[in-house]
Amino acid sequence: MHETTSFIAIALMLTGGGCSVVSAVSLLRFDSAAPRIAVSTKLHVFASMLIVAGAVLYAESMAVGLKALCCLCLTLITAPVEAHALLRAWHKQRGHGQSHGAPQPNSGHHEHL
Amino acid sequence: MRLLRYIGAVALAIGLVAAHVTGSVPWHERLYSLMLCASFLALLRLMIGPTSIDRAAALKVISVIIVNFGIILAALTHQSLYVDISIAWAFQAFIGSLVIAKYCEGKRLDA
Repeated sequence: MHETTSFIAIALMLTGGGCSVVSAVSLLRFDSAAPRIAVSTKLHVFASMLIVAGAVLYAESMAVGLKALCCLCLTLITAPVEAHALLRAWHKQRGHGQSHGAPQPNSGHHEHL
Repeated sequence: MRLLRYIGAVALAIGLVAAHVTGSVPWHERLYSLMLCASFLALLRLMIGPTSIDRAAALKVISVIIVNFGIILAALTHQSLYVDISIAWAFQAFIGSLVIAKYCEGKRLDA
């Protein structure tokens, strides 16, 4: 039983490591800052989730598992807050003028039906 | 000079990627090498990134990798001590990233 569980745990952890590498590579491949922030939030936290799941399955003691789940909850809560702050700063750095590119509806063309 | 820096960093990253594919290593060493490779690739972005926001995103990646290192250590040695380190580092990385974002936005850090 422990053999099967530890095999699944090791597979999960290695997949998490692979997802970390993919997120680091995609940090290098994107052109703008916004996709990089998105990747570091979504994909990398997903990799962390896989690793924590593998660690909880591998270590059969409850102390390690519960604390690791607490750490995962903390990462899950703080990562989007960081992303919001970074994206807000990026948007301000780009200048407010670029955000008004959405077409406004012409108010003169509305006919009373 | 910039080209030399890029070439050196890319060679380092490729060397790290190649290091964990060859041979039959125990699974935890393979996992360590994977995470180390990911952190060096993020280090590349830390060096290159034109703005500070890019460097902040790379720091996020490196910080979460460090947190995962602590959790893996805790699972391997069955000690719950290493998870405390991970939690502390997660807090610190969160605050550091917020500070960088606030500074780049132009706000005062205490207001």
